[in-house]
Amino acid sequence: MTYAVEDGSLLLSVKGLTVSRRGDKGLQSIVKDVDLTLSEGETIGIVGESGSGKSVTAQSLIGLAPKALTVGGNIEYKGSNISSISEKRIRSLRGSDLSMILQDPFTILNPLMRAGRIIVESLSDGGKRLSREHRRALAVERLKEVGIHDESVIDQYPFQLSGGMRQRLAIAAALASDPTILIADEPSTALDVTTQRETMSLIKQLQVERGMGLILITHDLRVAFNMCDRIYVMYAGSVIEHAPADQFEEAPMHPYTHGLLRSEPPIARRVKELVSVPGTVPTPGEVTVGCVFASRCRWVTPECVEISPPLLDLGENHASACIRISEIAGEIRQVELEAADAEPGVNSERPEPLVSVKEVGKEFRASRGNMKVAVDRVDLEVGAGECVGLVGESGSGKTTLARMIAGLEEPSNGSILIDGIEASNWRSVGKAARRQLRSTLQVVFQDPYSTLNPQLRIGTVLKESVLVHNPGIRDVRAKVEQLLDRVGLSSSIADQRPSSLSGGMRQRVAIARALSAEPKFLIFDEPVSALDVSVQAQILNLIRNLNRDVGVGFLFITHDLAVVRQVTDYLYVMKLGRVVEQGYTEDVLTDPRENYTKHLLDSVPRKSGWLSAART
Amino acid sequence: MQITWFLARRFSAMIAVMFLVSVGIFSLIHLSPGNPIDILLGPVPRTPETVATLNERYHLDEPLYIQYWIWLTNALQGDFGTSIRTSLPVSQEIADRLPTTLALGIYAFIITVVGGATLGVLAGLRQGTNIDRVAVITAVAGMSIPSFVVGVLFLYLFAIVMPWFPTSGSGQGFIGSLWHLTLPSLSLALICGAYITRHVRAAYGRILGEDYLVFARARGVPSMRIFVTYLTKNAMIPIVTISGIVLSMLITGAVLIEVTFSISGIGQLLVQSARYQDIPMLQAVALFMATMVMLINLTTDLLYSFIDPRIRLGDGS
Repeated sequence: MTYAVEDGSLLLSVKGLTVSRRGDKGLQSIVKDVDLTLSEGETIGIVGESGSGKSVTAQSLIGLAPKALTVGGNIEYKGSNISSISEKRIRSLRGSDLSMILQDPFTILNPLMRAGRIIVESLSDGGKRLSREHRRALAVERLKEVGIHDESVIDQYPFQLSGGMRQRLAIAAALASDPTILIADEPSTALDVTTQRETMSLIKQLQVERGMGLILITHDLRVAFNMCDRIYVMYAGSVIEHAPADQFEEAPMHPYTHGLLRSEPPIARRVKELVSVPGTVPTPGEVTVGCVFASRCRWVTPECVEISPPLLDLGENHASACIRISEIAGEIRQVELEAADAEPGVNSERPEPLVSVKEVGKEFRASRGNMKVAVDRVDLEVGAGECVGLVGESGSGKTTLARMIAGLEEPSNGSILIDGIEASNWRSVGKAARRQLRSTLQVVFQDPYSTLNPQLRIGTVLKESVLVHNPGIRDVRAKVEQLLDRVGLSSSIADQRPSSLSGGMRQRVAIARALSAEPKFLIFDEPVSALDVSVQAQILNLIRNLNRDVGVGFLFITHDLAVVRQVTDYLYVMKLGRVVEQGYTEDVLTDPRENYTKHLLDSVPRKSGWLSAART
Repeated sequence: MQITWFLARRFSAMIAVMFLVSVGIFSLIHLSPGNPIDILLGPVPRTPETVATLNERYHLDEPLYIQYWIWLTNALQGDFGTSIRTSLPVSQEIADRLPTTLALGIYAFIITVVGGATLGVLAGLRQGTNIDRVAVITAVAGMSIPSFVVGVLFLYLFAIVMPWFPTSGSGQGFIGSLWHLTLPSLSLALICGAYITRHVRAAYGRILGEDYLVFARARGVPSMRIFVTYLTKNAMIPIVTISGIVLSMLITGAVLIEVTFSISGIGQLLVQSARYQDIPMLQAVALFMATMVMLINLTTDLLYSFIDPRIRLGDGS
């Protein structure tokens, strides 16, 4: 199957790309039969959740797939096949023809090398023929190109630079030998929203200026819409739909893409119930025959599980791997309308405060005697049964504040009152009060992978927690089952270990464990940011229902404004250790007063104009 | 700025530790069973004159802290008193034996680093292959067999069954020393080399999986450069740490090896002195070894900060 390329000459043409791993159960394919094309000056997006195979696809294109994987298929670069050439020959293409930037700016730069050298060594001949001054001048020039105008940066080591600066430096290095194609693998995922937008704008601008072909790998459809001409959506190793970006936004033609789009919590309004895709992504090689999405699809028919669906051409460069798409397209559109139901936000009187934070500050000892203020005289209240949001970028002090409330960090000054107990110094409150505090307040952390002991079965984890807070309980087993039920898990989970659960299930277990203390107050520290979008919505719905049904007060910490809008009643916005704005979530996000809040809101990826606004 | 601060801290810490160690070593004479006078007399008959001489010499009738002070000031000037066993100055005896032990240590260290690191690099770069398996097994064997057992085995194989090397002594001249010290150095190096192999392998293996390596390859940095400035330079950080520990192990390990191969070095001196309760000699050897270990640690810290800018310049956090 071939698709016409509209303008520009063809740079890259991939046919039948397959990547597999030899595992316990024979050959498992991680990427299955992927076709894609890229033309000069074009941007394509490969969008998918974790386990979709998007990153492996990108690595295979440039010959950098992990050694344990076998890559098959045909990759043509400017008309010549590069899929079977020697490592030596593909190496000569890297940098000058194909180049790549990776996700995490904190780990992709050699920690022992100064910025200037990182750029110079990436030049096509390593800058060997140039004089010292010339090399330096070139490095300065390359940094200017990526928006770093401070010349002193070239003598600095990566650890001395911020995340955004590091990613800019990495981009400068990746582009040093003027590649024809740049592959960007989640280049902004590890960055704050404001930095994310700047980085994306920079990449887009450089791509346009240089007329490069750009392959953007991302999990975020909204980002892809803004950046790309055409988008490929991958799911469980297969491309299940591809189309020009604008058509995608208008009319997704695959139940998965549709579900993915709708799982994205809207920033502009609070909806009654977030749409989620039920179930989880199958593991590589799990589905050998039939549609990979069948197990999670609401339109599934027996035929879907029997036939592996080919990509069907729908015209106008749009293709979908759903055999029923012509029947269900209308129905999909219908569901779209249902989901749009908005719900008014809360702005009634705030309840009596359960947690009251007054003038709390925290200073850390930085280098030699210098003190760094992490939290600066913050006032915050959480009422009984109220859901309060705390948003801010990294370095805003939001996590430090939460840790102080949870008693994991001692405030330098100020007072924290939790359910009538002065809790600014947990060590001095006495044993009984400390125990009472522990069961009044529980925390759910960001990473469900590291907060569960991998050796313990889920049942044991919960039983232990129940017994700690309620030693005299008669029927522990029933209590554990009740907890699992409350977070939407079946009681059979109790016999499993964390490793056999998906990220979303683990986060449910973590929530169940927090509920086992029957707390009056729960702190959620970025509970969904490690999860895929389709799973994120499930957990957000759970959190909302818990707040409504159980009547526990929540402090919900996140960097994501769309998430906070869906979950919270009242909102605090933090910046550099201070609360800069507070109010009912609905009011703050509809009509922000502070410039910083406006800036944050503006940085959230949206339909159009997202990138252009960042450049000004 | 940060580097001088760092060095000053490390150096003062070393002085503090040295002080504690020296107090411990000085106390040996009072902690040993029996009267200090009897110990110091050794085989010399006890008469009022000899006792008076010793009292004067070692200031045994002074309070302890004054004794310590006198002992320390003398020790710092290289005067550790007279050996009970040989009645020669202690410093003389140590100076005589030091070259042999140093030669043994350096020889063994070179074998350790060259052999151990080469094997470690090969294994680290090709994890999961046969080279790797051989390296891992060798390393485990090297670590689990005590060096004196290896020594005896080597002696049997390469000095008796195949008489290529001498069974004892330290030899004359450079070639002679080299010939005599090969087997002892090898025995000593095996166990230390095993540690090096394991750590180098782990360091290379870990860095191979780092993002910055993938990123360097993705932008076409030549593979030789990646090996030198990415792999090796980053691997040096853990390797320097383990080298310090290995050098300290060499010093203590030398004691057993010198006895096994009858080499008249510091280690053998230590054993002989212990047997004779030659306290002044023991004190000098112990203080010497402690100083060596601490100097090695200080050097390790220095190298560390030299390699890693995050230590030299202070990590922002």
